[in-house]
Amino acid sequence: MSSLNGILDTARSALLSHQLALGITGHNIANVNTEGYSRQRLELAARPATEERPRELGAGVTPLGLSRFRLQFLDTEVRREGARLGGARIGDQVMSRLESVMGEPGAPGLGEALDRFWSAWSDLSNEPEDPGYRIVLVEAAEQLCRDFRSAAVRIGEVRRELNEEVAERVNDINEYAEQIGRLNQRIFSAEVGGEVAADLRDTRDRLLDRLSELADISVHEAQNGTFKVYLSGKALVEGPHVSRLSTLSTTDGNGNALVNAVWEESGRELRIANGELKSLLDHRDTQLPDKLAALDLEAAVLVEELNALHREGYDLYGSLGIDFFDPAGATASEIRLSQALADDPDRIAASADGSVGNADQALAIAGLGARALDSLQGRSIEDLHGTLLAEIGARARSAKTELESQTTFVMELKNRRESYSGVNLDEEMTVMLMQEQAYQAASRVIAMADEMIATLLELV
Amino acid sequence: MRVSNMMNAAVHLRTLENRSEAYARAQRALSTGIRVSRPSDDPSDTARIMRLRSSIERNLQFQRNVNSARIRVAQVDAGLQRVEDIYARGRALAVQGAQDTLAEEERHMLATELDQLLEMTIAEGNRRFLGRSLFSGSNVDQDPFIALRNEEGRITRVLSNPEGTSGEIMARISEEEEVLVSFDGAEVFMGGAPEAEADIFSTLIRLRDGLLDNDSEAAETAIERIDQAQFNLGRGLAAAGSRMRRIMDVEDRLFVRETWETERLSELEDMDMAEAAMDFALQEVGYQAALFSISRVMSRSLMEFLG
Repeated sequence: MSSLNGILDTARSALLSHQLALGITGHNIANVNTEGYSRQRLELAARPATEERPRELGAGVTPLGLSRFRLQFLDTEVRREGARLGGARIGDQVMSRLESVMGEPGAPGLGEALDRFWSAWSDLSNEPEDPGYRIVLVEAAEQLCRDFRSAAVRIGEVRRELNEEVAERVNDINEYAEQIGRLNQRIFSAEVGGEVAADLRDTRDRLLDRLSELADISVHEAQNGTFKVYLSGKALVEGPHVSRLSTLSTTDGNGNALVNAVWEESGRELRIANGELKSLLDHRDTQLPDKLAALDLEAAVLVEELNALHREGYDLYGSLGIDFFDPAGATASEIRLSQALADDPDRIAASADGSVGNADQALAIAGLGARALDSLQGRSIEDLHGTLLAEIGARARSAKTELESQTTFVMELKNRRESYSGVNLDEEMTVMLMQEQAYQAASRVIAMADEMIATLLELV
Repeated sequence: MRVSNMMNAAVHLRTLENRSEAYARAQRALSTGIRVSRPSDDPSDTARIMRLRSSIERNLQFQRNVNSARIRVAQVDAGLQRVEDIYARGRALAVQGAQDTLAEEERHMLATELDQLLEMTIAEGNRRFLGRSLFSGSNVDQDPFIALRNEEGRITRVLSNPEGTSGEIMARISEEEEVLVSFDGAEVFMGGAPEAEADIFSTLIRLRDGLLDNDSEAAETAIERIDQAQFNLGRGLAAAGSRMRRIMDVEDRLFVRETWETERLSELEDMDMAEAAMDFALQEVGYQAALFSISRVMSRSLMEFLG
């Protein structure tokens, strides 16, 4: 049997519980647009009468606690693919920068400068004693050298920028790790009483998502609710403790400063397999130097082959040709004309036999660009340049495809997570209606009990 | 599948982004008309485009070379035809001089005309085009013929340039062909060297001297040698003509090739405009459809139906 007071008590528990539940629904609605928010529900349970007399009628409802809608395996997936996405993003950025550096085929570039250079030799062969054609040739050669040098300089700039970004990413990782460590501490304190610190956990998960795009991490939850974050086989965060990263500066063979990521404590290098940091290092240390080496090869072959031909010819003074390009500058970044020749275009050796009108040497040089060379295993300088562009293009294209597919994939995973964790307003409205109705009904119960008490009192 | 509001928005946003990117790309393709502007647009075609551009540039260069060679050879051809006329006149004078009935003064007049013919021949032999000697082989800055004169100013001997006139100048007129554009003056005008059988200068000088001496015998022998010189000159003319024909053949081929390569480059590099326009229209419709569907879906909510 339930007493009138018992009825009031039962109704009161309903009012309080649903008020609380409505507050949580309100919280969900408020966070409908918050990234990384997991919807929450108040779990309710029927309250038994008393422990001593369990067979009596129940005594209303009681809130059990908050539940947070979150699936950890989806987080793990998102983070693993997030690292690949970060890597792909950097790859796309760098390769597209490299495409802009080369400029061709959309804009004039090195290939066109090469074509012009060969043409200038051919023009000279028509009238080898004409000073005008000699000046044009010197101009074309200087433009070619400038184009080589500026391509090399700009690749170097991209490389330096990547280097700076490595240092920035190391800072970011430290920053995220510190924040996660602090959140571990707060979540641990908040959950001591058995509660779920849902919003703090959301913040921590969001930070982990961001961290995972920088480098491939793995995350393990300890019994006490704190996360252990592993990076390169070592604990980056463990409870409140953080192992910081640091940068180590070295220089490569050409005197370029290189920054590498190391553990601050041991000074040992990180072994990471994925993520933005990894991709930055890879492109800085492999892709860009490779492309620069290809440009260097182009320049070196040009300098060597052209000088050899030029030394066999005779200039306008009837003496044997000097070096056309300065032999000291046999790389893309250092290629330049011989000073003596730039000062006096009459020293261009166009003649093969010393007579003024002969231009066989100029003709031979004009054909150098398309000639199959032993030093290039039967390829020509033109082939080399076309291949370099095609290689950059193929890389840029695959980087773009990789980025697109990885973006879609991560998006898909995040959708699945969002599908489970995200807030749906229609759903919240429905829940709110249910809560409102329960609240109204409980109020009616109180009113009814009140009437009954009044009726009873009238008897007295 | 449960759909949350954020997810809905994110999916719509992504759809819109993709649509507007494709729209912008179609628009760019249509307005620039260029299919490959970055290597990644089509890596293998990039290499082909670069090769074709080099090839077209070389082809244009060959056309310039052909042009320059043709003008040069045409100058030589025209010059040699004028020389042929001079020879014919020289022969006519020799025939006249050989007549026994001619008076001494008349022979002297013939000799004076011969002096003029000599001067004209030398002038043709030493003719320059754009400052370059046409008949001195590769020594284009020097005259091929040097005239020695007596105190009256009469030419007494003609020597060829001791530096030589046989140096060759080649012009590259196609990927695999070169054509000789220099002419050996000593060969064309002298049949090899001064005083050779076909040396027109020594023949004319001797004829003139004979006429001055009122010697009809000398005129008789001169006719024979003028014939030899004419025959020799004919070889020079034939050489110029055949080179001219070759140059023009190559010019035609270069032109055909340029047309073909330019077309091919355009195929690789340029947008198919009809296709681009079609794609643009499609993307426009797609973009509008996305906007429309999103505006419909996003504005619906349970709240509209609750009192």
